[in-house]
Amino acid sequence: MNIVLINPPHTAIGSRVPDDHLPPLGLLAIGGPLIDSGHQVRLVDAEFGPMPLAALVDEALRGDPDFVLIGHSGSTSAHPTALRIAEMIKARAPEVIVIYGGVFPTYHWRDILAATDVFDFIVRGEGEATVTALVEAIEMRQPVASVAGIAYRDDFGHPVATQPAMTIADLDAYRVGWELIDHRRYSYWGGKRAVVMQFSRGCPHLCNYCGQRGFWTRWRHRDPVKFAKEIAWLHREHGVDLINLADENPTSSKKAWRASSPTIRTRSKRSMSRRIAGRRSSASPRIAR
Amino acid sequence: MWDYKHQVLHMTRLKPWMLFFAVKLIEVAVQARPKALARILFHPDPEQRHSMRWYTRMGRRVWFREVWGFLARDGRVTDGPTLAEFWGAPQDAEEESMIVGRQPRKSVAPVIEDRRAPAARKLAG
Ligand code: B12
Ligand code: SF4
Repeated sequence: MNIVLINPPHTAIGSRVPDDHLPPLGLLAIGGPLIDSGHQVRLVDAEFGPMPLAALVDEALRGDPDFVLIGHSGSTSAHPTALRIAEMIKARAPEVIVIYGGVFPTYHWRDILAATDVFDFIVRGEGEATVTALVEAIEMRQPVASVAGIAYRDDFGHPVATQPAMTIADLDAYRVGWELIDHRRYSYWGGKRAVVMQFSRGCPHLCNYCGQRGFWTRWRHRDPVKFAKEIAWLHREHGVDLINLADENPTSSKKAWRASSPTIRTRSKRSMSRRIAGRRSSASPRIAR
Repeated sequence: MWDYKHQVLHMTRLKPWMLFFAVKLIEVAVQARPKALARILFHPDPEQRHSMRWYTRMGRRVWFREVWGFLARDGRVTDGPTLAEFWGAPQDAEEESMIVGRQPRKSVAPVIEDRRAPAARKLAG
């Protein structure tokens, strides 16, 4: 299938204030498994510019895609833009199947589907396994109701959801589709070549005001050595100098986190400085120098 | 609940401009603490210094952009919805978006070759 991923131009300060842009990890995370399932995948990242919506839609519809997948990390505030894009896609190419995913649609699928019919499907929770199963079901003309973790409008236009998806037990079973981006375009901290990565998902703590823990449902982490090897590879092959961690709490398991550092150090050029930036109040160990 | 701003949105006692400028004042006060300034100016590690200065520069842009927005750009409505009306019914029962399949694997036993890995701490976004 011919699939286009869209990263909408965000209006929020997090996107518009810095001159740098980070790769949209959520979309790359679903892009990798889709490529590995034999689909042709392309990313249109409208954060650069930012791209006007008309140009974005032109670019997305180039090559007549079967599916357009929309998602954004700064999820809730990006919704009006995502909605506008879906409306424009459907107005121009009603046969294209539009799938929407991320934090906001995961929780607000009822309101979204009740208000509009421009999103054919919403993926709830982690996207890797669910979206590949959904695309395959549609391609094979299987009933979509058998795919867990999705929501859509039934024949009467009522929003319905299938049973929730299972959390991914082995995070290393899916890979990030790094080939979808040109690393030279992405940076942070004022021009340092950068990517967003995730060592763990969720958090073992139980702060009652927190929504992130619930989104990922259970705290899980990647194999520290594989994670470290991926960082070293990004550094060596793509000159990535800065890692922005998407983790809620990367050091929840200090043991696992520390296990990744010797690998990173021995597998990357010692002369290059390397930074792993934690988020907000999390520790940001300096991995190698 | 997927937001760190809901306490502010829930405010009923202060007028919008009071709340807005109280927050902006706190931001300045926190950033202008002598300790915070000294860290940005004199942190011994050049890369840490670079990153902290970058965050400060972005923070400054955001501060002016938001003040300008409040005073001149963003329109405010007087008959806006309450937070509950805007956000709908609580979704506490749906807090977890997925169901747990297998128990997550046990952590891989780490082989720590170099325990002296320095762990510099800082605030990052
Ligand atoms: C890194 C990050 C940023 C970075 C990087 C942006 C980028 N280019 O990716 C920066 C610093 C720029 C940033 C800015 C903002 N951010 Co931010 N950010 C994050 C953070 C820490 C990680 C995002 C990430 O990569 N996660 C890992 C990936 C794999 O997860 P994911 O994106 O959710 O994708 C998975 C699923 O959701 C799903 N999925 C996602 N998209 C799609 C699409 C389809 C079609 C499908 C099928 C599935 C699917 O599948 C993916 C794989 O499982 C998250 C918190 C978190 N831990 O997730 C906050 C978070 C996303 N940010 C948030 C916010 C509010 C913002 C800002 C709006 C802040 C502001 N006021 O300006 C801006 C928005 C601008 C922007 N570009 O996003 C909120 C969103 C809350 C909400 N209700 O929507 C979060 C959740 C943090 C929080 N709790 O406050 N952010
Ligand atoms: S992610 Fe942060 S706020 Fe949420 S439960 Fe963990 S420690 Fe608490």
